Amino acid sequence: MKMLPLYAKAVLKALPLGAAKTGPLPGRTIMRSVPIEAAAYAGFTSVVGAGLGNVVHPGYLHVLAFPLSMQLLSDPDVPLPMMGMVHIRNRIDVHRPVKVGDVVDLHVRLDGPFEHKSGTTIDVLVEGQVDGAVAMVETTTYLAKGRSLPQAKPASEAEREEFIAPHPTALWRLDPIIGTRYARASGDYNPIHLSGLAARGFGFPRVIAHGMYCASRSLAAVDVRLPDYRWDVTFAKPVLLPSTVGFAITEGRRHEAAKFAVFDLKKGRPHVLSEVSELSARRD
Amino acid sequence: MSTPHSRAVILGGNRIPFARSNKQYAKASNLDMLTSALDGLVARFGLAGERLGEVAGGAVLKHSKDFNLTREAVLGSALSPTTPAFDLGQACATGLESVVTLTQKINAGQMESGIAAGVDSASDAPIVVGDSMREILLELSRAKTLPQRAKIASQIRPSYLTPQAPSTGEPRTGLSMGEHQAITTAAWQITREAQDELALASHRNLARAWDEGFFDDLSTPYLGVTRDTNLRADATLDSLARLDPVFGRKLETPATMTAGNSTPLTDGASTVLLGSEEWAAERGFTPLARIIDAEAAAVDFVDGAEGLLMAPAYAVPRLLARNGLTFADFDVFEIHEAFASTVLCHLAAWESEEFCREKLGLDAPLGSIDRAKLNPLGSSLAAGHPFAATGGRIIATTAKYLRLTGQKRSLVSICAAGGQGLTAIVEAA
Amino acid sequence: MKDTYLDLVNGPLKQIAKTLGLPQPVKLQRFGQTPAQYLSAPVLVLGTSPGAQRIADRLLENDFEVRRHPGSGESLRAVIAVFDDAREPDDLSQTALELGASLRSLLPCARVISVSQALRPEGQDPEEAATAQAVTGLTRSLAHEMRAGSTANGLLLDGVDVDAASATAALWFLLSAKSAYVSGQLLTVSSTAGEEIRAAEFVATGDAGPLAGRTAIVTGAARGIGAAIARTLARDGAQIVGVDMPQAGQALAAVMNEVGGRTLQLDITSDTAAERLAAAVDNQVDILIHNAGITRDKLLANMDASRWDSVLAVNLQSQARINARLGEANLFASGSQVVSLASTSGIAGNRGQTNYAASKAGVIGLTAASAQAFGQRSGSINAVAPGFIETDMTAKMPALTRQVARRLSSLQQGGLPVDVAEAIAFLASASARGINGQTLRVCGQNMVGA
Repeated sequence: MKMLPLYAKAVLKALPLGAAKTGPLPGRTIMRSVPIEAAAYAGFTSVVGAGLGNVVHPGYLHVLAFPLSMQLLSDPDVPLPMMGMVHIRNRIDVHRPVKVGDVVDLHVRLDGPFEHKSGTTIDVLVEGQVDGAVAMVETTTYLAKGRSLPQAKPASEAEREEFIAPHPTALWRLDPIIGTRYARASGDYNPIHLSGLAARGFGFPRVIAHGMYCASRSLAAVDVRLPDYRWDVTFAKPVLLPSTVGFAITEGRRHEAAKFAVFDLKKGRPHVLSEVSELSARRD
Repeated sequence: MSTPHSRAVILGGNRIPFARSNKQYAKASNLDMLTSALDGLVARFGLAGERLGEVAGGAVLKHSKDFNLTREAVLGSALSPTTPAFDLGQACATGLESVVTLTQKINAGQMESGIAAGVDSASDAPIVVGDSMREILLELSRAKTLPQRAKIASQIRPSYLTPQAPSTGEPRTGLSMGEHQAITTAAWQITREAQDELALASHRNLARAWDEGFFDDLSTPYLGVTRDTNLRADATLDSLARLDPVFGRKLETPATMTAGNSTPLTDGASTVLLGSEEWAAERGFTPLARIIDAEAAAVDFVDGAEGLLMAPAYAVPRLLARNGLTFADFDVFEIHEAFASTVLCHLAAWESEEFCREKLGLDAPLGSIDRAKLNPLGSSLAAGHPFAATGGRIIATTAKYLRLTGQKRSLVSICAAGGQGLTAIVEAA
Repeated sequence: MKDTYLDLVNGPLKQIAKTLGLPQPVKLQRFGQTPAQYLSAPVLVLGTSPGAQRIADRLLENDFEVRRHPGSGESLRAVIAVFDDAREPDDLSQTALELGASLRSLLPCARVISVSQALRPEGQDPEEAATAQAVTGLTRSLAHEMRAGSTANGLLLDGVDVDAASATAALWFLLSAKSAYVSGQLLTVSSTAGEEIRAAEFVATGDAGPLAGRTAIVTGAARGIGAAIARTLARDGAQIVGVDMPQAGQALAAVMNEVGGRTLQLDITSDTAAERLAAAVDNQVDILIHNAGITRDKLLANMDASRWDSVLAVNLQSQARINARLGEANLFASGSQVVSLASTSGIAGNRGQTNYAASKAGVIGLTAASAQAFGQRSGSINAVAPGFIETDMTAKMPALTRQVARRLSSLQQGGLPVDVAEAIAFLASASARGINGQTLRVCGQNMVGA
């Protein structure tokens, strides 16, 4: 799927033409079967620093579903402009490993809108099945800042714990080209990751890294080896490129349930906070 | 009398004096330096034209063209071109691993003689561009039209052109070895003074050894360099105290690691001649010592669970236990000084009841080491540390020292990148 | 250092040099370079004594072409004039004149060898002594008259007859290309010690060579004359232990790897030098070549202590101490042979070299005085005094001085390091043990010190 026309459409929609819609979100579910091809997957792993193994990094499943979610979000019936929406949270439950060569049946739909202290959010719900069995379930939360909709449903927002920057166990030097590289690997050509001009248009002094790039690289660094798990990601401050950021596991340990963070070395503020927890142990 | 399993003996060694990088050996490649070190050894033992069992060696910073570095060095040396060779690598433990591997081959009766070698050039290091530049270059090579190329090339930023300095960091953490060690140093509360004192002792001991001619039959000059150029015979605690810290400056604790108590980037090569007792006797070579046993260890440093360079702290107790030995059974301790604080952290760990109980599972601390027995001929802080060449330097030095002083046993310990460590027991032959 | 003049007068400028009466040195035939027709040319043995006949017989036994009478008109490779039974000056006349008449028949690079009694004032009546000494004057002067690379040397018999093993060996040496740059010299054989050697064995190499099975320590072996000594001794079959300062280790290693030898990085002035030398050869020092030496030239008026002391320490005292220590500790093998490097400066003196000449003259004295002790161990000690040799050291001389120095010898050219090495290899060989306490000059009969 060509993403650039989608963004063009989104930009058009962002223009203040006509009044905000008040109806419900489109209720349809888009379905698509996507084979996981080694060559394309390798392009992803090399960018996020994951090993190229047989088990697919869940960040790549997000990538596969991404065009479908954009397709839904850019629907004229969606009452919020896609352009300018901020990816604030991501949760992927990995129920069973997806393997290279599997064909993933993706079911994508929208949920919301929800109230948010800074505006209104919409969730993109993705279910990925392999051979009829659910392998992953993803909830991607986008925030339209400063927008409120009367039909928005109340949503409970977990209070974010206060972040105290740990000593970094790793330093990541992130060059501007990271935006281009991840765009190519993921198909997310949002211009704020590619062009300083576009980024400034959205209020960022420089291009910013894809949130899911930082999240996927974090998960790769933790190298989870649980059979099933929940991967929660909260996006705080965007990472301006270039910069050198710190990474550390703040709770737990590599290969297991853990909390970990990508953070600003100088100010000690978080960029991306992640948590991996065992799914089979959870009952929610 | 040796058992069949310990027939391998250390007969001697040769290294070129080590030089700080980008100085006298700036234009010398790993191959040049290794060949020269080999030639010096061959000349010392009159082995020109001889076919030896095998030569093993390696380099930590290696050009892709040097895939067969050691064999190429043999071909360029005075040894018979029919001497086989192989490359191996265990980061800074490469040199010692070469010694251990060949010792085992000789002990197993697979061969009668061999040369263990190691070399590193931080000057002629492979130029590696960062991933960003690499991506652009690859793309450029795939581009077909000029406008495409121009567009791709326009992505290049000056910072991408900066070659990645050799060994700046652990691949998994992006932290330099010094920054890793700074964390460990802080955790063990190693003081600046203690580090500077260790560095001073290293310089003094090495200077004395050179002055006394100890290295006359362990080294051969190269390119006009006749002594290790990092050696500061006139170093004092005052001069060391004046240096600014270079690592750990972002930690909450005061930074203590300076250029004076950390090893500099160094160029150099070393070799060790090994042979079976029979082979040595046939040629009238005097065995100096033998490798009794060796133990490698590794720690999980990636998420900070243990210090990057702490592996020897784990290897040594396992080595001692297997051989039924304690520190009291050793006359010499050769602990590679990657940083002064590395050595001090190891010593502190072995003295720590908590560490020994919780990390090593021991009932009591391993104990203290008599500082007079520690690195009596100096070590890497003074000599410099051309990564893969350090093991050969230490083994040849301690083997000769045992022979010269009539002492019996030496403990050799080398920490290495990747959270590894290799340790060995050397006994007078 | 390349001698360009030598190349030119043997090439494009040959005729011009001849017309102008300029020196016309020829390229000397060195070991391995002797043309076949030279080797098959006859040797003329002059003299009527039984000794002369025995020499002729010895040559025949060793497959030389021999003539006993002059005037055949054939080209000769050598003339041996035997005066061993001359007791009064009149006895010299016939042989001397026959020698003179045969000189025009000599091939280029030919040899004249006189054989006579050594001067032994205590054992000879004045007339005998005068006669003996007269031969040396004849020989030395003739050496000055030799042309086209030919040499004249004398063999002096000191209480031995012509059959002494070392007398024979000395003949082989002086006849061979190994003595190319030795001229005007008198070599004294003073005992019957030494192993018999055939001419073919004398020029054999490797495992068949005259030094096969022996180990030679060569000090200062990293470069120049020392490196040439190592190569030559190795060619003659010796195992080499090359010694040099630790600083010269890289060059030393290259030389030792070339000759299959071993290195020993050692400061020979150190206290433990003797012990370490011995340890390198299982405490059995067999052949020891004291070659290491330094120069620190300065007029005596400007001489400082460091220049004087260091030259004496390296060139003389180290040799004396090492010899003494090895002797006291019984570390010399039976039959051990030492050859020391002296210098023509030590004989004739040289401006600016008071320290160097003192050290080298000292070596000559040390050698003479040590002979008895070495002889008692069935060995020998001798010295070789090089003249102008083309080395890095002489390359540093001012160009004009260097050119003059080269032409000052009877051979009108500088010697090569190998020329010195050949003399040393000969004196270190088992067949030369009857030569003891001597200093042999390898100088092309340089005016300096001649």
